[in-house]
Amino acid sequence: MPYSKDILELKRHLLRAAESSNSYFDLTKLIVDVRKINDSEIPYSGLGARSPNDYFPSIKIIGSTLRSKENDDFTTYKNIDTKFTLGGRYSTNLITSDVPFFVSGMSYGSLKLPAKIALHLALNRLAKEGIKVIMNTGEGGALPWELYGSEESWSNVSKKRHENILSYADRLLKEHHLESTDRDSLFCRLYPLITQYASGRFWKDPSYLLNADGIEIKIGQGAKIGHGGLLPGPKVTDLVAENRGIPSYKAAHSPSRHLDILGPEDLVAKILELREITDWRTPIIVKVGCSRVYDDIEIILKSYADAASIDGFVGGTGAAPWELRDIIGINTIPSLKPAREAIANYYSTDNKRDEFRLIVHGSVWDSERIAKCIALGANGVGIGTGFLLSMGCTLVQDCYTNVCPAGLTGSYEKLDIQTSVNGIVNYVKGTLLELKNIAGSVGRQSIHDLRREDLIATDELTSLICELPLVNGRTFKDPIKEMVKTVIDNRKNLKEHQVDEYWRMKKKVE
Amino acid sequence: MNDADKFIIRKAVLELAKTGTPRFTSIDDDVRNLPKVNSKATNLWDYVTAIGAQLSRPPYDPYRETISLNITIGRKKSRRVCLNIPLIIYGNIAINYSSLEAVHLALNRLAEKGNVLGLISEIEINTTKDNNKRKYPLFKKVPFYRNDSLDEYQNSCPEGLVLEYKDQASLRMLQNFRKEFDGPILVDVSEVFPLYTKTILEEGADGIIVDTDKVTKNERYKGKHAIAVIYDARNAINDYYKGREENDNDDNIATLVIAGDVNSAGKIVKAAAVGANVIGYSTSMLIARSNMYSEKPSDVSSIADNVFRHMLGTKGEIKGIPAALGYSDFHNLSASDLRTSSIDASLQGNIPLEGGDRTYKEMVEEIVNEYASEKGITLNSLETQQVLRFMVGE
Amino acid sequence: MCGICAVIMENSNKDFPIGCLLFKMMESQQIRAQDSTGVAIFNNGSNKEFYKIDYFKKNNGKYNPVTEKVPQERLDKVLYELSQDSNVVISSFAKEMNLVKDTGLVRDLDAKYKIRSIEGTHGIGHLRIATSSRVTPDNAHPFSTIVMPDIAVVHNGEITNYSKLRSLLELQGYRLFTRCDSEVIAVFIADQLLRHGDLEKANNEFIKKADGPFTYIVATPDSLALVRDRFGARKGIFGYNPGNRNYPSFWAMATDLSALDSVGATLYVETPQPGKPKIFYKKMKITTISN
Repeated sequence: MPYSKDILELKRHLLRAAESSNSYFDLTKLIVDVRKINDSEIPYSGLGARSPNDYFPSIKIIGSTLRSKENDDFTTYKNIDTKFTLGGRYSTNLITSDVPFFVSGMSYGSLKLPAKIALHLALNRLAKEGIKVIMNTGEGGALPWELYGSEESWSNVSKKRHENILSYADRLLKEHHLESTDRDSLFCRLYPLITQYASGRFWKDPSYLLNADGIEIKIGQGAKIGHGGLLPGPKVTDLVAENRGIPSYKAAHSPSRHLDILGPEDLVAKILELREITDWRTPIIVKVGCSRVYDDIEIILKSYADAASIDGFVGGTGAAPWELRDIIGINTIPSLKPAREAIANYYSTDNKRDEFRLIVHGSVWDSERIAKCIALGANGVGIGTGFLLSMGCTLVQDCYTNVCPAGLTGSYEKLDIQTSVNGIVNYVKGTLLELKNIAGSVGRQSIHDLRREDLIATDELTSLICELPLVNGRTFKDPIKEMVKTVIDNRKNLKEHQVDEYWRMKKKVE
Repeated sequence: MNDADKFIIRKAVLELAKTGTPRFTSIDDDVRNLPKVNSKATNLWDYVTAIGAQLSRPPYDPYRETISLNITIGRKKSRRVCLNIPLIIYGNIAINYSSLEAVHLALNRLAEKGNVLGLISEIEINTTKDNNKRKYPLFKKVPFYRNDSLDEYQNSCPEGLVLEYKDQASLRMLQNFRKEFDGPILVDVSEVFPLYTKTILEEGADGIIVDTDKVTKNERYKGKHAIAVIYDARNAINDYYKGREENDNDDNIATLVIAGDVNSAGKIVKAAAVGANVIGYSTSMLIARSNMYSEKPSDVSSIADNVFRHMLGTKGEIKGIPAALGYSDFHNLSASDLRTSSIDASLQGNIPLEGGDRTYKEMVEEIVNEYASEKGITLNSLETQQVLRFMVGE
Repeated sequence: MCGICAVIMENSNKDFPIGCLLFKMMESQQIRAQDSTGVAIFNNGSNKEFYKIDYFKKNNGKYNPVTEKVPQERLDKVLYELSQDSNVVISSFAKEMNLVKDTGLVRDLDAKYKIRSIEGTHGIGHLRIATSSRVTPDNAHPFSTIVMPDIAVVHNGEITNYSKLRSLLELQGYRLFTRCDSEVIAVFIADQLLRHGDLEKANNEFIKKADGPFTYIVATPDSLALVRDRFGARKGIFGYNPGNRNYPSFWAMATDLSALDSVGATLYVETPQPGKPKIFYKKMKITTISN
């Protein structure tokens, strides 16, 4: 963030004072204090929180490889199944994608138009090559070519409205100096689209719900659990404001909760309402951040939804209050166990197995992480920051300002759309090949056949929380069991050497 | 993401974005091969998070709904002090008179806008001029070598007193002051913690101050973190109240003031959840003091503005977090709202591990009981404790 | 927690099938909440000699309902013994009240306990969709307490500072049997009534002390109170049915308007102000509405 000279000087003085004081001050976070001194506002930040322990590196998939040898022709495992379907539990339609991961919701407003166009074109190109990837609009409304990207979607639209939509699209392209883009070819959508139904209700057109392939009710997201969507003032340009139906250049704070969903019974009513509106055709997903996972999934299971989506607290965002982002929520990996338990308990009383799906988001960037999530119980995975990185994101975390060095979330740098499209297409293809290799090298026919038994943990905490065995074949229960036996055998104080033995073993594992 | 992680992540994704073909190593492989981060360098607070409100309970909206931060200090018999924000400016930091004056001006401005905070200070600001009169409560710090008389405090009328507890002489001082002073008396027990808490409360102290930075340098808490200190302090006060009659009304019980490693909004909230009632906040003093390092020092009024604005920002933060956890009152935060990804933090503060509701100790106990009943044996409580002590490495 | 409802006759000198009215209201809301259900109905002093204690005895994961009739002399002893048994969860402590609850739908409850035929002067009912404690018969509403007989509470919402309130009550020696936050309302109100007997004051104290969204109805032998939290975060409304020659007039309370419609309580429909309890008293001939 290009801070002003005054701010940097303040920070320097504060740093020197802190270093020479007797009290403990977190020197890396002094910038938060400096920003409060500057404008008395709550400081925001972008992208995800830093968790000192996010569990992924402490899990290994036994025997898997991303790539078998130097001159691998990548066709060895080309028949491994990686399809993902969603819907069918209560909806008549299904959404199918050829990969078990998709683009998490990143709104127009938070992301600038070039980045949204790059994603749109890339997913179209992938669909043409036979790889369908699902896209999520994010909470800021959909772009006109997303909603009207097929012949069918124009069928109920009057001529006047047709013209309005096309002229709006022209204005969007003009604002971002993209007049050279072929507007008509933009109005083509070959990939499945999920629209996000968030508390801000940023859309004005019923086609937002009717033309979507899926609807995601966003109760919360991992980065700012309990806090509504946030778009700082400088980013609410005239066209963003028009798309969302709000005043321009004023910060958009969505309500922390849907004003008509205050509790589980309201969620049931809301989903039934949406089902009526869409004639029970469209799959409905409910998205929550990872906090009280068991309770939330239990409620979602009872609410006539087709899928639940959980977002770890390390998930990214365009803007969130800094401290709130860092301290609320739990990590992605520990959430999978209570989620699976809730689903298993729900189905234990009925004998049926139906099409309920569990989707997971939050710092899942590459194929190995996707595979770990699936092995631990997820059906599908959402990726947000990964797609930004493939477009050139430099992880500066200034997304909440209008200044982004990669041109993704800010207006000053220009994003090269063609390079970004190539980047996204390659990222998806590469990840897909890796997923096939992982599943194949472990001996499975489908990525969804990966199980918890294929995983091991490399430290005690991960072993305990995910209930996985440790590297040497032991589990976290073994030392406890041995100690119980010792206590029983001796029925007196522990012998010295046993204590030493345990710590030696522990050190070997770490 | 720290810098090393960011570099690995970017490199991995850019490689995929460029080639579209599989890599040889994954992000996790590379992270695992990084040189081990010195675990002492990471603060245990970073491993603790709070679980937010969404479906099972709705969050409140701090921009549109009133979130209360008010707290009262003082037990039944004392004249009480009310704060609008549960912070008392505290400084184990050497500052000069003009810096203190800046803090004083800022606190006055805040109090005028309905944001009353407290200040702990040994020195008093000269308030003979009317527009400089103190509008916030001052907890005057009495140096421990002082004699017992209260006379010299009658002129300045601080709203509360702070005594530092060092030895028996301190106890006598507390007894004398308690007889003569009707405002809240807070006793700083950092040097002797965890001893004497019960005695001090019995002598009528309205609260205790525990500076976690000082306590963790003591022999008893070597290697432990602020979390353990706050947890033990909370238990000490709760134990004192077990079975007593005064405990029917929250406002009347002794206040736990925690200072030290609690100087950011996130830590304030976490400390409150573990058990603190009021936070001894040093960052305002730091801001005032930092002026000494400036090449062109600002005047008192500008520094006061800095402290004022900083506190408004902090207030916004500590309102927003409880609202996101589903509370309309900051003081309803409790330890059941916290989760941790560190076994150490779970042990020190009795905090449940992520992904469930049980602490590390409870999980070990459960495994012990499960295994014992599987084998058809029963362990008595002493034996279970032995196993636990072994597992937690004591 | 999800759907609450209540009915109180305007002229209460004779019993009326309250159970039938409650059943209708609950059936109309059933689709929203299907975990568990329960009712508590008060009648005109049918039994003044014995105390009735209903409890669940846990055995291998099953909850077996047991009823004991206890005379005054043996009451303390029986209550003490039951409290000491960790497999016992006391679900109702009453003289005039008939409280039944279980997991499942309201028609299942009716099949088991014939609630449609229970008569009385006023009663409350509840449909549950669990938010934070498990779906077991003991976590169903209404909640009663051994602090005082004939207190029943149904609750829609969540008491977020439940653990704080619970420890406050436990420090004073009160016993709570479940981990459901709604139980704390019953114990708190009973404790307040013991101190000063004023239902309005008791509810005001609770509104001050409790945090989180809630709308609850507390029933005593001669009154019903509909209470909403300060922010009015959960719905709650009441209405009046003037009756005709087939049945007498009554007031009804519910979470949703459609429940009031189902029993024809469509006059004077109002929602109580958030933070101000609305109390309906049962006097011999006339019903008085406070504030």
